[in-house]
Parts: sequence; structure tokens; C-alpha cells
Amino acid sequence: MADFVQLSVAGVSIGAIYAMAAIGFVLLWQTSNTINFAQGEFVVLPAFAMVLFFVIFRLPFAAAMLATVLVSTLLLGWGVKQLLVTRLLRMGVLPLVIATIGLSLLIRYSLQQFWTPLALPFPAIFSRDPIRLGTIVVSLEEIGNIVFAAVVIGALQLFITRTKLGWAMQAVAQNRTLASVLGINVSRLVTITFMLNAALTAVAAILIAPVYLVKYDIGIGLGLKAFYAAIIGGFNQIRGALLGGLLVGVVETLSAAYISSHFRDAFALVILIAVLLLKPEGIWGVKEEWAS
Amino acid sequence: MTRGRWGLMAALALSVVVPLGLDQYKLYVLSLTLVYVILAIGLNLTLGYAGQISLCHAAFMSFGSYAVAILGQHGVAFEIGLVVGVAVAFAWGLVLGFPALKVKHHYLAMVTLGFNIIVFLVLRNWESLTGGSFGISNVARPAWGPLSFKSDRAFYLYILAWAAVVVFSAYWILTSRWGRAFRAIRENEMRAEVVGVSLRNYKLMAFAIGAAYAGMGGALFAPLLGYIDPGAYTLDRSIQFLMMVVLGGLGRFEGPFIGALVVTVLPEVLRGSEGLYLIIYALAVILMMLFMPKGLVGLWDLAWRSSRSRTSPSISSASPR
Amino acid sequence: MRTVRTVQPLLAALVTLLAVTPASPQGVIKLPILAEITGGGASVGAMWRDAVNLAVEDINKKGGILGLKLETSVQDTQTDPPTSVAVMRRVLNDKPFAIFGTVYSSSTVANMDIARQAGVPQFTGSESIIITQKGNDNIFLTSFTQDTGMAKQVRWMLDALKAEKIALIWVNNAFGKGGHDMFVHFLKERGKAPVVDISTEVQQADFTPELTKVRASGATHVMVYNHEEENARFMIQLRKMGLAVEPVGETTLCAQTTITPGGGAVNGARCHVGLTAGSPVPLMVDMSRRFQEKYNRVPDHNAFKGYIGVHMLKAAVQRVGSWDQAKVRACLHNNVFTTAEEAGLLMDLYVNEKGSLDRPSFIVEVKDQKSVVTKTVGMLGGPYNTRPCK
Repeated sequence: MADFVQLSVAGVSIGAIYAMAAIGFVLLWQTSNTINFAQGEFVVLPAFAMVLFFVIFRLPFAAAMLATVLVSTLLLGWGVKQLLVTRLLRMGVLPLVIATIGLSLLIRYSLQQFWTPLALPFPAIFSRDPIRLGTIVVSLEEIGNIVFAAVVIGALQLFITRTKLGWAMQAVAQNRTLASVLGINVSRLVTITFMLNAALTAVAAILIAPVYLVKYDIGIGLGLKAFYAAIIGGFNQIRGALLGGLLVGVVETLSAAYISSHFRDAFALVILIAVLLLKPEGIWGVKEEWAS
Repeated sequence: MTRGRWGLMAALALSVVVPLGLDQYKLYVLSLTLVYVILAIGLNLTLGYAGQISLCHAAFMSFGSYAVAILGQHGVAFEIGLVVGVAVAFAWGLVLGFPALKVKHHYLAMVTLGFNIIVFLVLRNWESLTGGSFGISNVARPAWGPLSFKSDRAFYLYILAWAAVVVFSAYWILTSRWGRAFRAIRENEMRAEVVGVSLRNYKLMAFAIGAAYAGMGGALFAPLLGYIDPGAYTLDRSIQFLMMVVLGGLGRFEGPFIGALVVTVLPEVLRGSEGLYLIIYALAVILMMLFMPKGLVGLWDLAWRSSRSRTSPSISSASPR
Repeated sequence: MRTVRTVQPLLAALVTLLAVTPASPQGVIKLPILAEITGGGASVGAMWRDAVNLAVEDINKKGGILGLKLETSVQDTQTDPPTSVAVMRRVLNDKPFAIFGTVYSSSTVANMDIARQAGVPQFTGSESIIITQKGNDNIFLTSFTQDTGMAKQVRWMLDALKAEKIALIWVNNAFGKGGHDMFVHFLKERGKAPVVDISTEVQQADFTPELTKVRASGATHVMVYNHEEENARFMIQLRKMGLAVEPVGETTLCAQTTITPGGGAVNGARCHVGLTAGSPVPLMVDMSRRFQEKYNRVPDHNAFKGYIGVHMLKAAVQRVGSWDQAKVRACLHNNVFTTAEEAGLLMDLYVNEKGSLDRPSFIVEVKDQKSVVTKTVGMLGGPYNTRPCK
């Protein structure tokens, strides 16, 4: 039982990070029908930026974090929207999918080639001293990740449900044509969504850097799991992505310990395929709200 | 149409004669390019013509490779292994085609990607059958009694024969009503249904035939290399095929030839620039999508048009959608 | 018509491209390097390449071998087995005397038969048992295979560390599987089995499942056999959970590429390693210093392997007394080569009948984020006989 709790805490901690990437994913899909295959690299690039600001330039933590979020929102949010998405959006889903696959390779190979193929260390943000609760050992790092992610996701939820901009985003998600008839500047909203996504992935990057270490290829697994999470939870709901992220994190941790470590990468996929076949709108998704 | 066919014949004749004088390295590169051409033609059918994204071509490929390798260990003739591999790939293509009926692009991308990962895990973990991580070595090349294709030159011609089968059958498929149906699906599913194209069968077929070609490419790949292991059939290789098809030109018949050639030859040209070629591929893929969805074929078209200002009807079609 | 229009110039371009073959000067010995310059193995291939080049430079400075100078050229395999086969065929066109590479075993297994058919001896940085199991008499390892390495590892863990309950964590690919199988095999010979035996994945981030099982098993020692980054993550999480188990490993656990990202968490790990920059052997210290002067980084085990490989060739050619590939190949089996006759070997070594090595190795401990040699371990077998090769 103690082991089970221990594993679940670890699963939730890593799942919270998947959830953040998954939520950004869902936002992009909702407002702009973008399937971002570079979502993993959208986490990796800010992680490297954080190394640059925090470890190399030795900025104070808060300043480094701010700079990282800023760079990410500008480059991966505004920049990608203006350079790639605006033009490709008119051409349908497929060219954009292929372009984001290209983008993910570009970011990954460039980091490997021009920075380093090795893993970079990153100092822990929260204390790693073990806290013993009976036989369960947790650390501030796990708790910190969960709390931090919860705060960010909560704030995002408030933003979407309580602000004018958030309402406009919902309107665009539900019916883009109607939204523009109602006087909403759709293109501007898409830009804002991209920037929001980039900010989310930047925060995720800062949380995972100490655990994952910073390496050019960590985005591959991360992007995949965010994708699984979004589909499992439901592509049209923030809470769906949240649920999906936590589920993927917990399932992969528990199944590796209790079922088979050889097939650990397959269990989340099996759930995903089952969801696709049985309830394609996702566990928590709602069919009627599908973005067209 | 006939002139197009003559063109193919001429290309075929050239590819038989030209390599006779080549050394084993050049023969090998040409052979590898041909195998990639077969795989890329399959993916182009699924993705370029029918617009169904597939990220598991490496998995389909592995069925062919492992079929000839495993059956070959038991003394089964290569061609039987090839047929088995192609059949398995075709069958799995059908199975994966079913979600394609139900779900949209992004889900399909995900299902196929997940399938590739699961196939990799099975290849690695099913040790008694596949040899697990250690793979299978000494994959035999085909031999018909006294006639053996073991030498590099003979095996090149053997691959070429299969490639010709693939090219001509693909050409036939695409110029038949099937090809028109595939393009109709890609352009507009709703309209395709209205004009009476049975979406269901054609979508399944676009997937299954693409998979079968990949199986054949895989069957030829294994003895060309002589050694296979699960690492050769990862998602990375599926993405490499995707890049080939996109670089060559989606939904263009010449696309796979150009794409396969570029991916095998570009690193040679950029020798000494270390990993830059990977960055160039990635950049090229993005730029192609932005400015030239027709791929490198588009470049050639442009040059041709400006010199002749004339276009001829062909089996290619407009940008992918 | 459009097809032929496109295909013809394309073929023409291809023919021109393929027709270009580089000319080569006479009177030099060609030693092409096949290495993972790009792709996943980039950092490994660079070490191998640089060390082979350093060795060749050293030898040429002293007049070459039997009066002939050596010349290298680098071919990139892109860490891709099909490409490694292509470049192998390419370098064989130039009639080289021997080939240096590849390091990744999936590439080496794919390309080594071609070198054998051409009769060109091949020196590899691979260590996997799948290389020596193929009965190829043309391939020469530049370090232990996993069976020699793990035999020494188990002997050390049971006899010196008195490890009672051992947990085994290994990465599930050809590298990890080979090591795992050998480790379990030699434990079994001593009547033991690992109390926990869990596989991990490349790029795995969270190791809580492994650590929870290790804790539940009451293991005294955990044998960590992953790649460097995963080892670093594993060690960070092991310290975070406050486990009392002692971490033990081989080259990858105590490598600088594990210590740098892992930081203080790797302190205290103990490893059995074949080759290390921290070795007290004067010849290795000297080579390490010159490598750092030239390339501005610390050589790792792959660098030592490349350097030693070139000198294995030199020692064999000198003992044969002529540039005869068949005789050199024969000389490099069941034979002992010493630093007395060839200092560049860095340590005395024995090449067995399969082309694998036996030689002394080291026990290192990570202290203050540096791996420090605490003991030298003798050869696994022996004494071996030295054969003349004239």
C-alpha cells in the first residue's frame, strides 16, 4: 500500500507536467485547428533558455524565469503564429501538421548541433531532502511541481471562464465563423492562444528541467505524452487534458511497477486506442462542443 | 499517357544499363535508394494522393523485413517470405485503415504513431521469434536453384525488378478510377461522397496498398543490409519517409524518386558539414509547406514552365489539402 | 511525358555524382575512420574519431610503421546502420589496409561482414557480445566484450564488496540486454540471482517504479546499467528517495557525462571500468594530457579505445614485419601485446580467439564529482602466451 501511494504521488507529479503541455495543445486545437507536433520541443527550447539565463548568465531565479517565459511567448508563440500558422491555416490541417513535424526536427537538431548533444545539469528549484511519512518518502520537489502546476492551471481556467478575452476564445473554439461575425478578431485571438501555449510550455520546462535534465531529445517523449493526454481526456476541454495528463502519468508509473517494465510505453497507448475506438471525443470530452 | 509510359520504360532501361559499370559502393547506394523509392511510393499513395497521414510506415516495413528474415532462417524461399510480409503489412494496413474511417487527421496521426511504437516494443520483447534487441543477422539473399542473387550487381537488378513492379502497378492504380477516387477523397470528402465514391473502401485501400508497398520495401531492405534489429523500425524512420515524400512532392508521381534520392545523396554532398543536413531537411520541409507544397517537383515544373510556358496534363494534381 | 522529363536529368545528375572518385597519393597506408559523427551517437563518434587521428599523428611523427606513413579519412555513418554499410563499401573502394569503426554495435554488426569479405581488418569500438558471437575472424575489439567485463564485475562485487542482495537496473536495448544477460549468467555461476531485475527505456525520466521495487526488495547493492543521462536521473531520484542501497556500475555510471548532469547525486557510486582518464597508468595520463591539449576536452573510454586500436594494428604489423593483411589478422588472435614493445597500447593486452580483449581494469569511486581510481584489477584469465608472427 505504501508503495502504491509512493508510485501514485510520483505519477501525479509527472502527470501534472504532461497536463500542462496537454492543455496548451488543446487550446491550440480549439482556436486554430493546429495539431502541434512540436509541442515537446516547445518545452525543450525554453528549458535551454532557462539554462542560458539562470546557469550561464547567472540571473536571479525569478528574473531568469521571467526572461524564459518572455522569450518563449515571443519566439514560440508570436513568432510561430506569424511565420507559420497564419499562412498555413488557410490550407487545412495536414500541411500544418507536417510543418510542425518539420519545426520539431528543426529545433531538436539545431540544439544538438549548435549547443550540445549531452545532457545539461539544472539546479533543483525545490529542496530535494526526503520527507518521510511512515514508509512513504516524498520531497518538496514533487509537491512543488504539483502545487505549481495546479496554480497555473487554475489561473488559466479563471482566465478562460471569467475574462472577456477568455469568452472570446471560447466563442472562437465553438464557431469561428460566428465569432468573426460577432466582431471578434479571430486572427488576434489565435495569436494570443499561441502566446498562452508558449507561456504554459515555458513553465512546464522550468518544472521538468531539474528532474529530466536538459537535453535536446527530451521533447520526443514529452510531446507524445501530452498528445496522449489530450486525446484520452478529450480534445475540447481543459479539464479533460488535465485528467488525461494525470492519468497518463499515473498509468505509466503503476504499470511499470506492477505489470511489465518491458511494455511500459505501451499501456498509455492501449488506453488511448481504446478511447479512440470507444469514445473518440475523450473521457471527459463533450461531443457537441467540437470545434469545427 | 502512352508518352508517360514510354518515359518510365526509358528510365527503367537506363537503370538497368547504367549500374553495370558501377563499383559495389555505388551499387549499394543505388539499391538502397530503390528500396526507399518503393517505401516512399507507398507512403505517397496513402498520404500524398489519399491525404491520410500515416506515421507507421517503418512498422509496415518491419513486417516485410522480419518475414523474410525469420522464414529465411527456416530455409523458406525469399519470395515466399516477401509475399507473406507484404500480406501481413496489407492486412495491418486494413486494420489501421478502420480508425481512418472514424477519426480525423490528428487522431489518425496519433493512432499510426502509437502503432509504430507498439510494433517496436513487440519486435524488441518477443525474443523467441524476432531475436529481440540483438536482431537477426545473415539474412539471406534470394536464389533460384543455380541462379543466385547474392552478388551486389545481381541483387541490385533483383531489387530493380520489384521496383519496376511497384512503379508500374502504382502508375496503373493512379491512372485508373482508383487514383481519381483517392484524389477526390483528399480534395473534399463530402464532394467525393456526393459524386458516388465509396469513401469506405477507397480509404481502406489507400492505407492497405501503401502498407503493402512498405512491406515489400522492408522485405528487400533486410537482405540488402544482411542484419536487422528493432532499432531500424522506429518512429524516426517513419518520419524520415514522411520527409522524403514531402521533399519530393506530395501527390506527385515523381515525388518519391526525387525524395529518396535527395535523402540518400544530400548527406554525401554536405559531407564535412557534420549534422547540418538534418537541419536543412527540417528547414526544407517547413519551407516546402509554406511556399511550395508541390515539393522539389514543383521547382522543376517552374523551370520547365518558364522555358516552355506550356503545361501538359499528368497524373499529378494540386496542392495537398 | 512529365515523368521522363524529370527522371532523365535526375539520372544524369546521379551518374555524374557517382562517377567522382577521389584520387589518392601513393606510398601511404590508408586507415579510414567510420564513425557516428551525426545522429544519436554524435558525442561517441567524435571521441573515437579524434583519438584515432591523435594516434595516427603520434605514429607518423615517429616515422610511421615500417617506414610508411598513415593517412586517415572520416566517414559519417549518421548513427544509421544502412548508411554505415554504404560508407563501409565506399571506403573499401580505396583499398585501405584496415578500418577503424564503427562504435554502435547495431552498425558494426551490419557492416563487419563486408570488411571480412574484402579481407580488410576492422577495429571496432563496440563491446556488445553480438559482435563476437558471429564467428567473424576479421573484427577486433578495442576493449572487453560484455562477457569479460561482467565476469570481472561480478567477481569484484561478490568478493570485494561482499554484495549480498543485488538489484539490477538495465536499459532495454542491445547494449543493456547484452550486459544484463552476462551479469545474470555470471551471478548464476556463483549460485546467485538478482533480487530485482527491471528494464528501463532510453530517454526514461521517472525511475520511481524501479526505486520502489529496489527498496521493497531490501537490496544491499544496485547495479545500474543504463546510458549516461538516464543514470544521472536515476541517481538524482535515488538520493531523493533517501535509499540506503549502494549504487554500483560500470563505465557509464561513473563517466563524466553522467557526473556532470547528475551533480552531487552521483557521489559515492563505485564502478568497475575498463578505461578511464583518471587512470594512474603513466602512459594513459600522458595520452589523456595530449588529447586535452589538442581537442580541449577530457578523453572518455571511447577515445582510449580508438587510440589503443591504432596501436594494436601497429604492434601486429611490426611483429609480422610486413604489410600483409592475412598475417596481421592471424597475429591478432590468441596473442599478447605489451607496452614494452608498443607504448601506445597504454596497457598490456591479450587478444583472444574471437578478437576480444583481456587486460587490467580499474575500480573507481565518484568523490566530489570526480571519478577517482581506487584499485587496479588484473586480467581476468591468463597467464597467456606471446606468439611470434613472422
